[in-house]
Amino acid sequence: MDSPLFCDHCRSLYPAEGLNHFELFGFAPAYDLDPAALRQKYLQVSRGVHPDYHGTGDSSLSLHLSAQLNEAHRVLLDPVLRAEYLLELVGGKSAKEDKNVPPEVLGTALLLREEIQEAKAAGDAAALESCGTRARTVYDRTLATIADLARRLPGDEGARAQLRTALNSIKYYQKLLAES
Amino acid sequence: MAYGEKIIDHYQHPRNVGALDRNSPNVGTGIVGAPECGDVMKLQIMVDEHDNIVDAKFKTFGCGSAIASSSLATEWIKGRNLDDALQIKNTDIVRELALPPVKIHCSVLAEDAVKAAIADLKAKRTRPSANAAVEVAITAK
Repeated sequence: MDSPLFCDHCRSLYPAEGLNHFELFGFAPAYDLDPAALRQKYLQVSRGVHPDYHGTGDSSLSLHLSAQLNEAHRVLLDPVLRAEYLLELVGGKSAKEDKNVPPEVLGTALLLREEIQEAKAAGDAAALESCGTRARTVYDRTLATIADLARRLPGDEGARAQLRTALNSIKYYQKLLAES
Repeated sequence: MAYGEKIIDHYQHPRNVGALDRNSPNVGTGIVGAPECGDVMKLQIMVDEHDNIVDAKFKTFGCGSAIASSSLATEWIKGRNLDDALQIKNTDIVRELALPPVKIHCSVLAEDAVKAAIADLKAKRTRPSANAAVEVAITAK
């Protein structure tokens, strides 16, 4: 069976009740995911649920499944969202419910936002680039932490708390990258 | 979405933008953020010997509602004593600025910033070096 969403013989559709984002594509939940394999699976399964393919006239189910596939693809393709989602699958507190970040993270975000604003106001391209480089450094470092912790899920509560912190921290760094 | 006059006024003419000396024993600094949007807000208070807030400054990197909320918060806390300032609730800010529901978290941020600044001031008194670690992180490049 290629996909749990449609019969590869008669092409009839099945609702994806209770399936998580990974299962929609026939993957086991894990942080490491080959983007090319995900893409291929996404295209294949999307085609399978398309009304033109199964042709049973059940377009509302088809539309519903397509939306679900799009959302799952979006989440799984993004390394931060993927880690966030894996944490949700494990259960317990999600990153969104635990907004704590270390004061150093907010301090760094504030400092760089200030510098970015000044560099933009002064039209100083070199200073802006330096801000971007520093933002990239903290972003990459945090993403490496996220990857490391997400690979070891479920882990213990201490490790999950660390992952939540890193997931919240990286939001500030993403904003820095977008601004610089 | 139509914004009210007060919010636009605070956004276009924010009050009390700036900074106070972080290292002064009479200054409390609160830095808070919202991971949902990655925005950060710094709010500082300066008190006299009777714990009255004589000055307040803020710097907010965020949307107009976040800027307006922190601007209003600094206006409100000036002249109050610390305990009075702690009474300010985000719902007061929501009402005053007529913030739409999607912007309520901006008012929460402002309330949290006031509380963080007061907590920082109190921590400084018990442990003068409480902020050393933060200071290092902020000045390190």
